[in-house]
Amino acid sequence: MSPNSTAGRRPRASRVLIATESSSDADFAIEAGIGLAAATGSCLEGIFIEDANLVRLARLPFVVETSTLTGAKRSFAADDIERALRVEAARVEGLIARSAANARVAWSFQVLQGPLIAAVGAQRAELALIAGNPWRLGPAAMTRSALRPIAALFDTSIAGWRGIEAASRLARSLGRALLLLIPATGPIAPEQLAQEAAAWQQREGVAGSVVPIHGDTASMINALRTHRVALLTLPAPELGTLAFDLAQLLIELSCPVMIAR
Amino acid sequence: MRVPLPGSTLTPETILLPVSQLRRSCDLASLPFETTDALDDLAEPFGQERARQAIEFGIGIQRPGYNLFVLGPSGAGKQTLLREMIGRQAVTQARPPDCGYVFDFEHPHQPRALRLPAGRGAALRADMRRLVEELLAAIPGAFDSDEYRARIDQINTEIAERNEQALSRLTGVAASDGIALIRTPTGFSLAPTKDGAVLTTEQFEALPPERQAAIEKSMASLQERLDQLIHEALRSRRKQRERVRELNRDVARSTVGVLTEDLKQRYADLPEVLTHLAAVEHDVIENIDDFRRASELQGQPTGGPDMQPPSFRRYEVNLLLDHGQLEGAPLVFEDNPTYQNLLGRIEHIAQFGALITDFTLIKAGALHRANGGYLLLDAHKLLTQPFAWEGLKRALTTRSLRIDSLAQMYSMVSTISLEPEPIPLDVKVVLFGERIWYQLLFDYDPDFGELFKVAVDFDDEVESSDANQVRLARLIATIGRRQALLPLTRTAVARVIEQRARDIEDNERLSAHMQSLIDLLTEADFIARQRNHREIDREHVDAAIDAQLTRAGRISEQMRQSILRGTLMIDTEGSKAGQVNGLAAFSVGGKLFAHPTRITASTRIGDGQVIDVQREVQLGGPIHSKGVLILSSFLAARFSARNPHSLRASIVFEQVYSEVEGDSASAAELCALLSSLAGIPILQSVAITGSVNQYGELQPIGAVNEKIEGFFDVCKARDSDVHAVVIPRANVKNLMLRDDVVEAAGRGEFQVYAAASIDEAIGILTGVPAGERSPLGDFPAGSVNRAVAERLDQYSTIRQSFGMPPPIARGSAGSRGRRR
Repeated sequence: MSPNSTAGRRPRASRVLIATESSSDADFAIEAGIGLAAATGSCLEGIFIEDANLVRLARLPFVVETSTLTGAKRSFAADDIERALRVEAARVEGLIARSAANARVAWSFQVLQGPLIAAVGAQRAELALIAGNPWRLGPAAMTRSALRPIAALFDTSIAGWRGIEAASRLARSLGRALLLLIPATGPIAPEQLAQEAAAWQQREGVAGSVVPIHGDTASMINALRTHRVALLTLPAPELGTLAFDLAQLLIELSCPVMIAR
Repeated sequence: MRVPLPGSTLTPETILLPVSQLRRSCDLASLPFETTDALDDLAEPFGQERARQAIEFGIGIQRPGYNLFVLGPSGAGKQTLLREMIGRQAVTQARPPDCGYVFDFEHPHQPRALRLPAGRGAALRADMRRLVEELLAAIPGAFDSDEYRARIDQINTEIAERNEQALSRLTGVAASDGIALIRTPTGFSLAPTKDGAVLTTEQFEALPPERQAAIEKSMASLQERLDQLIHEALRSRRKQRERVRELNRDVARSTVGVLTEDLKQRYADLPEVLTHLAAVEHDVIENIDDFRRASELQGQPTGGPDMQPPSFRRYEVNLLLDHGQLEGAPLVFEDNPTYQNLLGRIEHIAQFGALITDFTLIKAGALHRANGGYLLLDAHKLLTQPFAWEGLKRALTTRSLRIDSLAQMYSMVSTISLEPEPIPLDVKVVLFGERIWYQLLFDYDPDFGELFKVAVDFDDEVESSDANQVRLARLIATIGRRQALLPLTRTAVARVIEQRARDIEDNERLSAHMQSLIDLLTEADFIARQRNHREIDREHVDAAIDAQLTRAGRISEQMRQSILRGTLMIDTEGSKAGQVNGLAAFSVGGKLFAHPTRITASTRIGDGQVIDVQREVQLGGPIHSKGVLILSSFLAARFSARNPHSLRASIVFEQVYSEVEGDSASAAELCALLSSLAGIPILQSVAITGSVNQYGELQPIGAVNEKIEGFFDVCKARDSDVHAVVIPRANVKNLMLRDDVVEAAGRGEFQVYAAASIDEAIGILTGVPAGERSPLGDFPAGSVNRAVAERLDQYSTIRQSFGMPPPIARGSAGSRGRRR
């Protein structure tokens, strides 16, 4: 689909999904998701994923946990894990409820079992913000830094335009820079994509930087780390069609990923 | 009434006072003006030269302890004179510095005193307020800048990346052994996996034992590395916080430094201010988060004590004294000298059920306001306020002003309070009050003499010279102009001058009491205006004086009516032995009046005692008793030198049911005794007043004018023919009798005799000469003394014939001794 044919359609999301585990990026994902839902008049769906691996882990007799708060080791039980997950789920639901009420956004919330990505794949929202479970030992919630840009993979598919528009809207409302990622590999040559991106920016009056990237996950991770991205937008009508390893991105990027369908 | 005095060269005429001596009229020729409009103001104090010199000395000498105590009766014009003189001196002196308190950042409960050149305190206070406002705007701005965020981001990212890379490496190593590093809600854990899922217990137990052992061994090794990694992460987190703090300090230092630099230059000449500014700068940097939070919390509802927005009051200047508009040294009069009004106080405010305070709630006292100048205090008010006198003494002794809470000092409250730094004190305190206060303080407070070395004693009276009369006229003119009164004619001034003499009962002197003068002039002005006059004339002054007497004359009139109606039995005609008209004076509301009172004496054979009935029933004061003892001593000495004193006598103030005090009736009592003993009646148309000494000499008494007028009024009302009063000769100078009394004397209807001795007095009272003792010791036949001596000899003979023991030579009533 050519960009000209889709540019005027202005694909809008009617459902925005926020999916999170126990993640320090959850709050930023909620803020972004509420903002998008309010701006597009969409409904907000919140899901909290209870990781089955955690429950199973707690039942192994020889497993211990090392606290990131104190560095102390302790054995833990399945009950402890389940309770901790319930507390976090309630916190996330409360945050969504308050934010949605303030922004006058219709919302729903549910707690699901299973791996995060699989749970998101089962949802049908046009925009899905995923706050994964990164290995985080340093300062929390760095995504809140106003200096960190919103990145979007420049793709001229319907999902791609939806993602670009959502990323652009977020960048504008949060006062962040917009980073348009131009993949080196793909059906369209990167030079053409760069021209499309420039034309789109000019047409929409959007300021943003264009960053060429390689098409693999590792290159993507390196590029995003270099630019300290606060949120990455990727187009993926189906998660299975995604050209990148989403699980690895969530783990290593330390920022939410927004999937546009 | 003209009584010949046989046997004596003295005749009544020699002691009868001429009319001219009954009142000293002001000589109009000595008043060279028509009305007081023609007179200049009186610049100097009237009749207070001694006080003026003392005040000049007191305010001139700048040494510790040379504070002033101005003593004199109320209304003497002490305050007016003090304010004028001190006011003139104060404007020539330098302005004292401004004074205030600032927060002491090292000792928060001990606010620091700050002294600044006059006028600069207010500027500093404004500058500090502006500084805080600017800090509140600049600091959040600095921390909201892109530069600051970038540096924070840089610090955070650096640490986060290092940790994440370590975790990533560990994850890779673990994965190669089939082990996953899993994030739990509160930490990290290692677990064996298969196809991305953690093994269940059953799956793990189904593994071959050697595989289980390998996994456990691998997990143990990985766990050790995980522990090290997390500990390293915790350490790096601490470093990160330290780096953020240091960054915050740097940002704060540069932001605050820019804003305080201007102030430092402005106050470069004041080291104390520079020290304070440096402390403020340091405190702002240390508490930079308060400034960052302030803008966030602005407008939010406040909760409990822990949710209050940060306070910046500690950067304020509590300016106690702003002398920017002052000219010269301060002159402060504290009308309500409580401890706190004098020494300052620390106020508290209620917050969440507790009383709290800070240095901005320190309030100045009168001593603060007067520091560097003069403080005027009413001694009576000061001494009747709890702790105020002690507080003032402490301040003057230590020469410093220390604010202590009374409640704190006496452990009445346990609230934490402040200990403000004492302020150096350099003040001249001027106390003013009645003489009794000065005397009491001098007698009972050993510190008083050390702290109030200058006594300013206001004179009550001045000599009635021509010059002083003119000065008084100028004072009247001055008061008239200041009080917007009508001008006084020359005759009115003369009348006022006469009344000034009457007020102090001395025709040779004038009262210096200011308030009574102002009152008289004000009231005369009122009457003159009522009568549509443009000037105050003598008649108006007379009317004002009459009105004063009338207003205060209810009781006087009641007593006069009692006499006229016969309730109080006073004879004003005929004669009676042993009965005399004495004259008693009373004071009601500051006004004196007098009326005659009947004094009787009875005599009989006895043991030498003279019984004072008033004293027996405890209605006689000590001075009265002293008079009775003296007269009995006189009797014994004169008439019983050779024989036992075999007299027993009783003296009574008839119809007197209240305490009798004073000895002004002792001459009357002695005359009654002599009359009783001699059997010679006393003329009831004559009254007598005066005290007597052991030699029979008459001594002066007070209220002589009122006493004469009191008897005159009764006799006049009864339309008696001729009546007279005998007074001590020493009282002639006190005569300033009313016009109507003087006029009656001019018509021969009333006489005033000035007797020097009891012999002269008894001669007037009885019409019989007293008689002088001959060289042989006898009194002339037909004299009062002869009759008395014969009667006493008779008593002695009779007493001896009855074989009574000789009396103990005590010569007094001795009733108190008997009671003992």
